[in-house]
Amino acid sequence: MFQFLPINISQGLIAITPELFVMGLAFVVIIADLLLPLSKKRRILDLAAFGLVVALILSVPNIFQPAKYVFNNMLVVDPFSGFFKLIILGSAIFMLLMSRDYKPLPDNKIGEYSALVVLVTLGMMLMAGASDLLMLFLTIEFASIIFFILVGFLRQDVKSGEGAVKYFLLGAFSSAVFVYGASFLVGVTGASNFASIQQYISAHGVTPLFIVGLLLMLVGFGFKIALVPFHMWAPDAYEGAPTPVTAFLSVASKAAGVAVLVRTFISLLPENANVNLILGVMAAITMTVGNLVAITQNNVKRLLAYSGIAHVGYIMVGFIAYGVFGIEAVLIYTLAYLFTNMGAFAFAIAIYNKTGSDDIRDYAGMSLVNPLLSFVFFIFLISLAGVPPTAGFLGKLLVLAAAIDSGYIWLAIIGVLNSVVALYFYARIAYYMYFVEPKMKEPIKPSGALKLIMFVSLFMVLFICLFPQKIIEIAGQVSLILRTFNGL
Amino acid sequence: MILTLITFLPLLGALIILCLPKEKENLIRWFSAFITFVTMVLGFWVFFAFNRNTAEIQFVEKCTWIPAFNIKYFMGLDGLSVAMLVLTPLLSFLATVYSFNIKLRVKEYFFFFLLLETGMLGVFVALDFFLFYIFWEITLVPMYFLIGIWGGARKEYAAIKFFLYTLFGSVIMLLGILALYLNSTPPHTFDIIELSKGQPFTHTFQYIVYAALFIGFAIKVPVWPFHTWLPDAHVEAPTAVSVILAGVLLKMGTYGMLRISYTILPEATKYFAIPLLILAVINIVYGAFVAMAQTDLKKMIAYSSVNHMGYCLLGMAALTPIGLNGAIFQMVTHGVVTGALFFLVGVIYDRAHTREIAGFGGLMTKLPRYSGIMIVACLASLGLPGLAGFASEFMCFLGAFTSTINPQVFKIVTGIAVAGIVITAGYFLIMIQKVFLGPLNEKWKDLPDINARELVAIVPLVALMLLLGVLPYIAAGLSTESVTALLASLGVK
Repeated sequence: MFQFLPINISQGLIAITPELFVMGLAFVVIIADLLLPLSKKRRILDLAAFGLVVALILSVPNIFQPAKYVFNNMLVVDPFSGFFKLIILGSAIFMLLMSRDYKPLPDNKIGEYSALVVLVTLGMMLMAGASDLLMLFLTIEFASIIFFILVGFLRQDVKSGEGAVKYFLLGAFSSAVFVYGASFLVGVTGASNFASIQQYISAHGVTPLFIVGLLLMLVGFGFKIALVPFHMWAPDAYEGAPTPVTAFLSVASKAAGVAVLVRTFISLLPENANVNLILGVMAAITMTVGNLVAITQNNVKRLLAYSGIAHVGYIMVGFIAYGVFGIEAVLIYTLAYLFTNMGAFAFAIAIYNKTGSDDIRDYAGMSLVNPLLSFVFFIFLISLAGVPPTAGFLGKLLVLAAAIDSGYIWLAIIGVLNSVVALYFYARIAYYMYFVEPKMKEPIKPSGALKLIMFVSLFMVLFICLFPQKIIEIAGQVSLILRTFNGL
Repeated sequence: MILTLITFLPLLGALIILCLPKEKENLIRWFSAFITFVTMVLGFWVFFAFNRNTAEIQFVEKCTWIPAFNIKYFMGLDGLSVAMLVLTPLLSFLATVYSFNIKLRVKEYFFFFLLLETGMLGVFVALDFFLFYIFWEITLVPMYFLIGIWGGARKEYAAIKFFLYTLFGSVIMLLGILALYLNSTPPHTFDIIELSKGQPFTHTFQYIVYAALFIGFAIKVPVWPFHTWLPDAHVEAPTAVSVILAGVLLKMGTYGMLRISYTILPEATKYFAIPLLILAVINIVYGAFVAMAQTDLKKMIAYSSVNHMGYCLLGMAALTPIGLNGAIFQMVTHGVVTGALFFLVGVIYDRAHTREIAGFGGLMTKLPRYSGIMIVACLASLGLPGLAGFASEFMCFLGAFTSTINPQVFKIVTGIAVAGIVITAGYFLIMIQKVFLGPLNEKWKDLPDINARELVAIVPLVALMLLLGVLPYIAAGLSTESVTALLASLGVK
């Protein structure tokens, strides 16, 4: 294959087979949109989902391969990026399945919509592997711009437009700051790819200017993952966006953001730099603000937006801890968050399809008409809150263990106190479902696709907590390779 | 396999109930009763099969679970836990029988109830922290729903308060557990027994971890000043759930202290004996006074739990064989006696729809059987010799009085605590007088006496009060060897 190309290019192309496949899929989707009649357009979603399943299978070997740079150090293919690719692809597949039954999406727009989703997936997969400042910037922009469009996809809906504009303006601003920060790094080290920067640092050490540049870049990352104080866009964008996009944004976009954040800091910053304290304070503020503001939310999408902000705070705690568990905790927490959040959003859509409302007060009495589904929803909620026996608990346990292990006891304490606050607003949803006089008279009947998402997620949420051995092993291996590859 | 069977049988039952049709309410009721009955029989089997002459862990089940973190599936029983493992299924069965009168959302009720039973049993048999913590938290979820759906007027408030309060305690406890794990000799372990065998924990470390664990346990017990969730939860919960709360859930706190703090953190245990003693006395005296001030019968019983768990803490603080045995025995007798009292309050509330002590009067003439049982239970609770409460409270006091930790302080403070008994007697006798004696309040002349279902739930407990009062050795002898071993490891004479 590719023998006509220079050897390093052909090797690179082979290494990024999943990405190439997804790119091809995007074109197939666009062509299918041209060919299919209006009545069959929803099938495009299935086509895209199926294609991404294949891409998912193609990506699996990535987590077991040794790390290597490709395309002149522009990209790195390693288990760490592989792990995040799986999370991104998994959430994209769930998201497409959810979209099938999401009524506000008009049939004639499905083709564009699917193509955009596939392309944004590609962008985020590349983000996970970016190992050059230029590549990093390009992939982040690629993914962000498509997300701006997806958030504003419901053109008739004012809120959708409002969310998109806010997201876009803040996004553009933070990108500018990011590039400014990156220019410091290039200026100091004279190189833009991570391998060369590492060499420079090990030879010359870190200068204050370098740290300033990195912190400015943090603004860009912070925006992607909705770190406080760069989170202002998130609630409006989440509320306005079509719900499947909200789910996708909250899981995949965050996962990709976490991936680049972790990789950049692990690669560029020696372990003992004082930046950790700044990150720790940000993590603490992020957890606290996210949880406290979530208490007053009545819109389920806004509520999950704020709770998502809080979860990023927890992920940051694991990352700051660097220690043996640190990266492992980040990986498992992200994986747990994928299934839990996707499950919860599947419920939000099923209920919205029935009642036309995202207000949790309209969930009143759901447990009477849908006892089983309500309880499953409740399990997702306690997983978000970190109560066993759920995946969220294992994630939180590892994050806390990582924090204590590396001496950040104050962060661990703030973390657990926050989980009590978090339980309150998750239990508030249960309060409406179980304790309040019923408003819902007829049972909601989720479609097969939504049920599939709910029960696969439920299975994984319980499985990850009760039988985590294999997953912990893989996560341990992934983080080990990432650390050794970057000389830690 | 017996412990796994006992623990997960109710869970299995709960899953089967999920598959039963919602309309067949009687089938669900009888099925739940059947499951809890079998669990109870297995509990009795363990009681008889348990070897009292050794401090070794018995019925051990151990296999690797998550080797990456050295987490094991480890269950076992010793003298510290066996009594609760017998009491829990017994109370669960009786509470199930009593719950036959639940009319609302029957299927969900019994589902949550059986789930709760699994959680409670698991706490008492788990010997690996990971497993222990999962069970510990599992009890919260069904309890939240049981109070919140089937509770009284302020059920939502009580349910969320219970949930948040106890979760707060358990997450702080989780930090303590993680600290123990990370500071154990490599390979790190979550094994509670392994951790109790000479780990190199410094004194300061022990004090900090003890404090973290204590917050978790103290909220459960509840130790003053962490008791404020208890009156709300107990009063608003449906009768059977109040019984379980008082009878089993509170003991998770004292059991946790004995099993974890005492065995793993010996230095801290000795260091904090005096503070624990003082808290115990506050629990006893304060609980008794507040109980006396209550006008609501159920609230009075709820505060009497604060009072009685104080005796338990007193015995634990003493660090003497008789004190610790008394504390464990007090867990059992309090479960039996207060369980019965909550049932009895439920009986009268179901009939009169009020619990105002002042609103009754002269019920003895109208409800002779009910009154007789109630008075026996009250006397057992206030510690009348010949009934269960006396034996265990006496042991706790004797233990505290003979403590060698700091004899002067212990003697003086125990002396103050004895005054608590008088107050306890006071509020029970006042209540008996107001409710059962005197002229009959005409409002209640048509009240029916206690019925068969209620008798089935209550009479076994009354029989146990008499039996344990006359032959305390049946239950108090279970823990002797384990307590001796525990004190030896603490290095207390």
